[in-house]
Amino acid sequence: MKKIKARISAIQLVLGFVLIAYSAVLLFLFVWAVINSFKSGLGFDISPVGFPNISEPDLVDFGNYVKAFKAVRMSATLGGKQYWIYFPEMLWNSVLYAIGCSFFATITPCLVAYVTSKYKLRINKVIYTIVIVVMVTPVVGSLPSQIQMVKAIGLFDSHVGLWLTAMTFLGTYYLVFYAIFKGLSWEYAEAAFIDGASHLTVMFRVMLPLVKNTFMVVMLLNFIARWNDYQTSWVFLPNRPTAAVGVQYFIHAAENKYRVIPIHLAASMMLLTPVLILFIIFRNKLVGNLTIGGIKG
Amino acid sequence: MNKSRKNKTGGRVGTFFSKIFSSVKLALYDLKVKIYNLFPHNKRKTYKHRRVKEVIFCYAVLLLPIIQFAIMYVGVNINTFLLAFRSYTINTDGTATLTWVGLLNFKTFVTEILGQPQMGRRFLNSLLVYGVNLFVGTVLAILFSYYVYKKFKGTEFFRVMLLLPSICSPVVLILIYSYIADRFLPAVFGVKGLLAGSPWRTFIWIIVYNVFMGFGTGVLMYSNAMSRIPESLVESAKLDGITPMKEFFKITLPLAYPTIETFLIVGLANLFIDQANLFTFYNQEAPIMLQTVGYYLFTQVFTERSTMSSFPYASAAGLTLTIITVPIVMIARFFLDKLDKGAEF
Repeated sequence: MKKIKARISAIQLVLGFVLIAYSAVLLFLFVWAVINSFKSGLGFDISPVGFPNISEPDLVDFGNYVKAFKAVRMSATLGGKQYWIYFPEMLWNSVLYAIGCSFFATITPCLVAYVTSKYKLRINKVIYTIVIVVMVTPVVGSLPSQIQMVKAIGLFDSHVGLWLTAMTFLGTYYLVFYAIFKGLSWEYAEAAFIDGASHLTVMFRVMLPLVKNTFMVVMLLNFIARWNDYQTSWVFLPNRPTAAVGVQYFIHAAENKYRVIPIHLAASMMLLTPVLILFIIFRNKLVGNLTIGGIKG
Repeated sequence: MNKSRKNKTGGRVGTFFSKIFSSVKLALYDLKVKIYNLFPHNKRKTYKHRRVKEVIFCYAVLLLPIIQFAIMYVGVNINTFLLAFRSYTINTDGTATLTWVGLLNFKTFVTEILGQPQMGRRFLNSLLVYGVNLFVGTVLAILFSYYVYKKFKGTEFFRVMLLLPSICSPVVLILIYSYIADRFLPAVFGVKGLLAGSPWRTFIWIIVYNVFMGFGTGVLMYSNAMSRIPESLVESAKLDGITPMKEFFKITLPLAYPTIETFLIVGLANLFIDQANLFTFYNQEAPIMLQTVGYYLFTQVFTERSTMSSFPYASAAGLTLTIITVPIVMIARFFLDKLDKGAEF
């Protein structure tokens, strides 16, 4: 028994040590970025190590966040005219893109999983098989065709268009919802049917409230993924850049290469803050019980 | 007096007719019930009616997602196939039309794979990224999941820390990582910038970033899968004197295996799609020696230099890579399924 306990503590110790090191490095990255976002370009050039030297005004710049707010901009063509799109508008675009897409990318697999797991339909097996096959069948290089298709049906460069393209039941979240609905008793629904409830009422007022926690977690994960994703929105919304697109563009813009590292860091912190706040509020839900099983179809 | 007589007479007549009317009504109702009972299939009709309503409801819910799937998956892939055999030709008036070119796009891509060393390097880089993620990233993720599952000290804190990179924007993380590697570490240790050395050295640091930031979701999913293992099973094994090692290899790993397999298969399916975050690191300017196939294909379609004319070539390249990847995934899945002990809980 003593031996077993000694082995457990040895494994625990090694893994614990690695995890402490991992967490320390991660925290250091963020702390370093915040500290250096308050240095001036010169201050950072002289020393990227340590705190800003407040006694030397030339080496400190508390206005980096205001500068970043003004400097992050991209040109866009709307209605045949060229405009500059600034950070506040980019934030608004991010909100529209992330909320719309996350809602549709969550409600669709949820409803499809509900119907295919709770009702006896011939199409159930087909849909389940499609999800599994698409997951394990790599389709490489479909981006050109996607762009063409979206342009052809008039959804290019429009938020609504991107929301509709997000309305897919394919992916792991279908399996997550499917497993949960399969495990839920149908008796609740039967009781409601006896009381005269329609299928729609049962779905929205009886069954969906039972999965609201998972729904919230999936929607939150989808929201965070869309907020951070810059490639999809850059490709499909070229004239409505999101905050992530703006910051990525700003960091790599040729005119910004010298002495602007603290402003880059300030811009990146501005992009990070909303997601970090959400993460702090909902961290317990996010690290909760989101599970997927095997993919045997 | 007369009025009351008339009323009385009228009342009697009214009662008489109402009696006849109600008896006819009852007789008709009896007849209806008898006819209803004569045909037992009418009962089925009610069930059928309910079933029709049910089916209409289900297909109403499924309609939009199915249309979306038909357009954005089936339609897109058919279009990819058609596009791969065509090419854009510029007309004299400046417009472009698609013309049939047969296998030309495929030939160009295959010739590049066989003849250009940089294309070989892109394939090698893609394989390296997947391999390191598989052997280092997955192993670390499983070990950390075990730590979290066993609720060793500091589990709650580590769960949050492990998930943190997954919720942060890669734009932010890569920016900080690049400046730490290129400015902070040289200033502290007096070494050269880690991302500015030889291509191999730079590539190693890019892989380190991908592994370091990449296993958070894996840890979350594996530890949640492990937490579903029945407590009684582990307790009874402990009473039989099972060692922690044996518990890990004989109970935890087999029962969490389906989730691990899912992640391995999905990772393999993304072998030639994975950009290894190179676009975020370098935007459109990643050195050729660092490029992966996923990055190469993406930049064929999305850069300031790329135009619609590169779409057919990119589609043909994508189709060729799909043809290469599908059997690899199927074979891997076959062998990984063999390793599955089929344990259920």
